[in-house]
Amino acid sequence: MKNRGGAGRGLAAAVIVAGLAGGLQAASVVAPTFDVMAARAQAVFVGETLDVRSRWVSTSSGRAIVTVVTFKVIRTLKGELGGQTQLEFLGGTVGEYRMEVPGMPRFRVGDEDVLFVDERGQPASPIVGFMHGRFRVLEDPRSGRRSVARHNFEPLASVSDIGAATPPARVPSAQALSLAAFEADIARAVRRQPQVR
Amino acid sequence: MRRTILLSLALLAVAAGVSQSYWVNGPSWPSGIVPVQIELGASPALIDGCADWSCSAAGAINRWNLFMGRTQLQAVERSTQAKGELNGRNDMFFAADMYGKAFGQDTLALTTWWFRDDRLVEADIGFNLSKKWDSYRGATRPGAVYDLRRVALHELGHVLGLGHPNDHGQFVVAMMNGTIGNLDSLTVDDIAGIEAIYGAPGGSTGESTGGASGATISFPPRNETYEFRGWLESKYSTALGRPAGLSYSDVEGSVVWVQEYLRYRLNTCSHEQSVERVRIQIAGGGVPGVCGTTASAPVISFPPRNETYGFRLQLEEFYRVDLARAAVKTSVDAEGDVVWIQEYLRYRLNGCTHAQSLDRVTEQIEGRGVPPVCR
Repeated sequence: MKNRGGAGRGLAAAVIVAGLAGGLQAASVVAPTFDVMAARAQAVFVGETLDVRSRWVSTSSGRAIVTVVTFKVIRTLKGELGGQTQLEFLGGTVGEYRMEVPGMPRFRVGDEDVLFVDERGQPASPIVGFMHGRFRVLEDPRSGRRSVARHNFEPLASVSDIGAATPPARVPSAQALSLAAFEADIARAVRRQPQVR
Repeated sequence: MRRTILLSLALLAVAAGVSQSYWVNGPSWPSGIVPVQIELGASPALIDGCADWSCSAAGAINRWNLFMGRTQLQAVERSTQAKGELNGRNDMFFAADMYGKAFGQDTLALTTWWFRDDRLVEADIGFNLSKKWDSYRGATRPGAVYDLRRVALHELGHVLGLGHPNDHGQFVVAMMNGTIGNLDSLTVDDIAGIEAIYGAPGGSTGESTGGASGATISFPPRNETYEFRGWLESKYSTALGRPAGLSYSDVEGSVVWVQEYLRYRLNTCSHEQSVERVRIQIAGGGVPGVCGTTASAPVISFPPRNETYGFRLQLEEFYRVDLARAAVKTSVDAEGDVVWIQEYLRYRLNGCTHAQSLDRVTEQIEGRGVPPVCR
């Protein structure tokens, strides 16, 4: 940022910033905590994206585009799923038309993710917390270590960072939670919590 | 075959945005006016004094307009149009669902972009009817009562073509981040993004946050203005015998922000542009750039005092409501505060030293006329 001001201006601003800004957050999704996420999810699974296709649907006020994503279910951590499952997201491209919803998770064939899913009420995004319940599975090409990152590829250090009021400090990928540890955390959370609606 | 994302690629994705903070999604609106139909209906009295939702949403639209060059949003208030996909209008509405899809428990609002042959043809904003809404400034209120204006600010940023920086590996303070928080105004990052798309007001490309690239009018060190304000306090209480009143903006706040307001005004920002830029600073959104450079003149002219006074009254509200500051005692009322700080700065910027400026303001306060500036 260019500083165009006179001496000392940053000081007073900084004092006030500390009192009001409250981190990096703005609008318009409330990020759920890990426990809420685990409790609210109908299903949690490790999945690989097999297919992505969009189509028109009729609505009460016209028509919209939805995208159906087909996943191979690698491991089910909560709920009951078969070998494959499908999720439907608002938005997509059909012919000359493209409908986009900012922040909507996008999947590519071959992606591997841990997904917290809640399809009740046919939501625009069936991912708990809109995009927050999607966790990327990353693999270190040298060590082969598999770790977990948030939907935006930020390495996840601990499940307690999920939905934290103050965004946690960035961590190097080497300190990210391993996939196995994350799955164990999910299993524990699922065991100890009743379903939340 | 399963394609696990390799760590190196993921890190690239995260790192890609470090040098560029805001996120531009793609095609934007053509130059000109872009109407937004505000179809939000009636509301009870709102905390910030707005009479209805339309007022609150229009306030958000006007905030963006302060920072855009080639395109302006037009608030069509209290519109009676019906919402719909691909109806050729940009609708803003409350709804139980977004075109047949539920918002979900964690989603306050959604925007949909419609592109045809990669041209942006429509953008609609739906607010989740199942949430509790009001319109207010400052920290998010307890009880999950959400501020429509800040959510509208965020969604309108999408309408204009901005995405979530934090979805793309950015780590910045921005209204356009995708998760609700206490930030209630645009930030320098949001402004940089919108100026990158539409240019800054006045025709500058606004590469960084305000447009001006030439020489701007510089102000004296704040400690000197602060010293002047201390002298003014003493003058009012002792020499003039003024009783102590209450002010929510303390002396330091008054000096800092009145000077900032005037810095923006003297560097070609309008009253509204200046107020919003100071507001962004107070809210922690960074330091927006000035609006341009002025042609050199023998004497630097200051804005009408009633406008500076209007800003000072808003500053009281910022401190009282947004910052929840307790009132402090001062013998200098708000009008005296701005009149004499402005006079002091007028002398300083027109060739007078600190001591000369202080002497000239003294003459005015004591009713001995208005001494000329020093150049």
